[in-house]
Amino acid sequence: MTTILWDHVRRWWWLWLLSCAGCGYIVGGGRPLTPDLSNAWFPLALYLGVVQLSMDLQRGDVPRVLRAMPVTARQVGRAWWWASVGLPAVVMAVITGCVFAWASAFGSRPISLVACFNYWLTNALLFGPLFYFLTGLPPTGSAKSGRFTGRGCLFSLLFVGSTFTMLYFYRLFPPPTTRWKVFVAVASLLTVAGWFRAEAFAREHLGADDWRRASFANAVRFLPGKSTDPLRGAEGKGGLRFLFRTIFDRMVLMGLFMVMLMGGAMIVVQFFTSALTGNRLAVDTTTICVTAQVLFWLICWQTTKAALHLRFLRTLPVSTAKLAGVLILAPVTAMLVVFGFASLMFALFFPALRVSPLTLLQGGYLPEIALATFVVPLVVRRGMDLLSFAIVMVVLVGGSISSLLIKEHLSILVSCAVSMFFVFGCFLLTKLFLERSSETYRPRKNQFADMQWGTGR
Amino acid sequence: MNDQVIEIRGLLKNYHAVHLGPLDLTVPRGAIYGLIGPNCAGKTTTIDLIYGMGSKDGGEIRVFGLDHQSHAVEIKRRAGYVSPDLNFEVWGRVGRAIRFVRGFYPDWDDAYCAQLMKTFQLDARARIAWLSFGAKTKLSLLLALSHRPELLMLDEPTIGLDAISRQQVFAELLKTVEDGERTVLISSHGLSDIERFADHVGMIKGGRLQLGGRMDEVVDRFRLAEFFTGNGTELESRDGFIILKRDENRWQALLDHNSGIQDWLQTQGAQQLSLTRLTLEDLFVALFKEEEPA
Amino acid sequence: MPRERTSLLLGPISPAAPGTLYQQIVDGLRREVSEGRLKPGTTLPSFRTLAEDLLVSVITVKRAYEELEREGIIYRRQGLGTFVADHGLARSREAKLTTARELFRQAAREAAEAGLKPTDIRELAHQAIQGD
Repeated sequence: MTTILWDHVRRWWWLWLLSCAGCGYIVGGGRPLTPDLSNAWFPLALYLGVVQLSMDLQRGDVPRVLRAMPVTARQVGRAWWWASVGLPAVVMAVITGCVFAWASAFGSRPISLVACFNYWLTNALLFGPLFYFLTGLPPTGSAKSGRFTGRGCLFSLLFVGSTFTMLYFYRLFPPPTTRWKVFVAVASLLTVAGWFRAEAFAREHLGADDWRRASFANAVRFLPGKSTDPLRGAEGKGGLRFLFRTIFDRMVLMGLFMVMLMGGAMIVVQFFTSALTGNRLAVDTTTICVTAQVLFWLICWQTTKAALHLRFLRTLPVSTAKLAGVLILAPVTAMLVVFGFASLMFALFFPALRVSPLTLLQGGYLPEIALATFVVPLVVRRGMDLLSFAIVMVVLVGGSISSLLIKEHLSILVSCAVSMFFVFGCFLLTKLFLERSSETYRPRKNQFADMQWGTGR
Repeated sequence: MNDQVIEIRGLLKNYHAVHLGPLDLTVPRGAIYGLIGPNCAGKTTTIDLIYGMGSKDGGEIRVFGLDHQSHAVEIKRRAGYVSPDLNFEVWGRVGRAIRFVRGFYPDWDDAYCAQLMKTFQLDARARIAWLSFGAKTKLSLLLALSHRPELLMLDEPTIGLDAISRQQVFAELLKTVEDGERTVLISSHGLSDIERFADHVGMIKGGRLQLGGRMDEVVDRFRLAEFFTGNGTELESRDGFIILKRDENRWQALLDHNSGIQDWLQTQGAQQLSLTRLTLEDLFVALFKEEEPA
Repeated sequence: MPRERTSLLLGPISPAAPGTLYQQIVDGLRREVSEGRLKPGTTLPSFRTLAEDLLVSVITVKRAYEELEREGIIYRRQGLGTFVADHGLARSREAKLTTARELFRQAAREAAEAGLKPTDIRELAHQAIQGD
């Protein structure tokens, strides 16, 4: 068991270090800390703990190797629990301890031990439930894959859809309140439940259930269309139109779903903290961050799936321009639709925003969409491995900030023009990569998709 | 010490395209056992089930005389597994993958591992993602061999390997079984390789073991018969006699030498009967090709 | 017991050569014995070692050894190994003679089928021996 645990740490130490650095900076970063540390909240749980485990599991290589090793499912499950819940909690305690020591020695205002402890407890108790929800996700490639489980949904929601909620968590559940005590009770329960569930969870991933080997992702699933014949595709359209529709439809569906989720989360935050009323800037910032999250996830996920089959797409009798065009246009149009919907929704719930035909443009959304498009040439060229993902995350953060700036300082017309040029630039880049780069066609490892056929080794 | 390393009785498994069973299979100690069969016949599923990947619907599997489920960990400790599904890229470099796998096996032989690294020309600092296909296979094999397993199970280990690498792999396998105590079970489509290097063979088709036993006995049992018959003689496939091709009076069929079909054929008026031996590949195709309509 | 690797020049055992693999091993060993390169009493490698050397399955070597044992060219002693028999030379020569006789018979049949008369066949045989 310790082998598995230490291997996990050895492989992911860099992410742990980054997260801790981020946390340390936010918490101890020179700002005067409020006595209850509420303005120093950093949801470490988003970057530490379950994240790495879920990436390993999604990719599937680690469980596959563990299958043939002489370990019991119980040992594996427990190692995973320690790697995602136990150790991160310990790490968190160390960080909090350091902060406390620093604040006591050099801080202007004394921070009570109790406040530190509450801060640590709230953070640490996020790991457990997340792990518990992760255990509800069926393994990729298993017979149950794609089936919705309650817990699995919660995991996806909490992790992917509501980073926003996590950011406000400490304000939603401030320490001494009853709300907080309820949270502590529930979270502790879930943490323990996760421990006991770990063995069955490991067994699932180690192949107790039937699993199928690598196969082409079924493009017809979830596709709205009258025809259920997999050969005909949506409404009888084949070829590039099918590719377009696949990307577009899925992005729109998922996007709308996620926007509604985010909207729901914002309402919850609003209800509990009234942090958002009246403050126009706050709403703007939040909506932009929120929607940026949504569309980046979307575009990564969908483009990656399509980009998996570039080798095949290239052999089709289509010009590169058309292919690049579809790969760029499909996500862009989908995002426009999603954003249109998002702005309508935000206007409905937050009267501070005005609804107008120019809302889309005024909201600084176009630059964001344009920026998100850069993911396409990135994925085409490099595939979606950890480095690409890191680049995307960095751009996500930088992009959200810069689109705010653009909105403040550039006129609508100019920002429109800039965005369009940027999208066109991405199109040219994609076309270039499809034509000239052989790196594009190498077999890909991929964080977000099933195993590719033929690349088992 | 058990004489039979693997004993499978009545194995049943129904899943998607695969309908396995009831399957009875035994692998004797010290053998290189070649498991062959058409695609989707259940070869990979059988090996998977031994390792507890997926649950069987019925039957019994014993490895080293132990039940494969209740003693799963002990069996895995004494066995090695190679498959095209195994991908070690997550661990970055060869040395790290070795270190990880090593932690699971108390019987790990460092000296042997180093020797294999030299034979297979693998450098501990090499990045796994940049290795060639053949090198990745050899890495899998190295990781499975280094803890000196009593049983080595290989699922399609020679896919995509060049001729030199294939020979290296088989040379290493022969070295492994040299002491007569270790066994190798190999499932492969490379029939000429299997014929040359394996001493036992099992052919799975339609989820059952159609033929099994010593390689020479299995292959020797059959002959390719060519003969002529008189006008209008109609012959039908029966036990020990499979019609392959027919052009009016000229026939080509597969004969089971042991069943005395030869004499029966003479009584049926077969003339100019010529018998030739078959390679494993010819035998395989003859037995498992769907019968062409007359 | 120390492993003695006799460097047997059996020649490459290949599916491309005529005869089955085990037959090639039998012929090769017989040749070595009959030409005196393997003296009586020499240890032969264990069948697993030979299998590894020749890159063939253990069964093939086993079978070859079994046949040679049947012909009396080699013998096995449990726990000690396999050795060339004392009369190995004679026996292998006997076996080679049988093969030669069979080959001559085959040649005669072929020649007859080609339309040659017995005198012509004898002439052919003389030419063949002269040519060596």
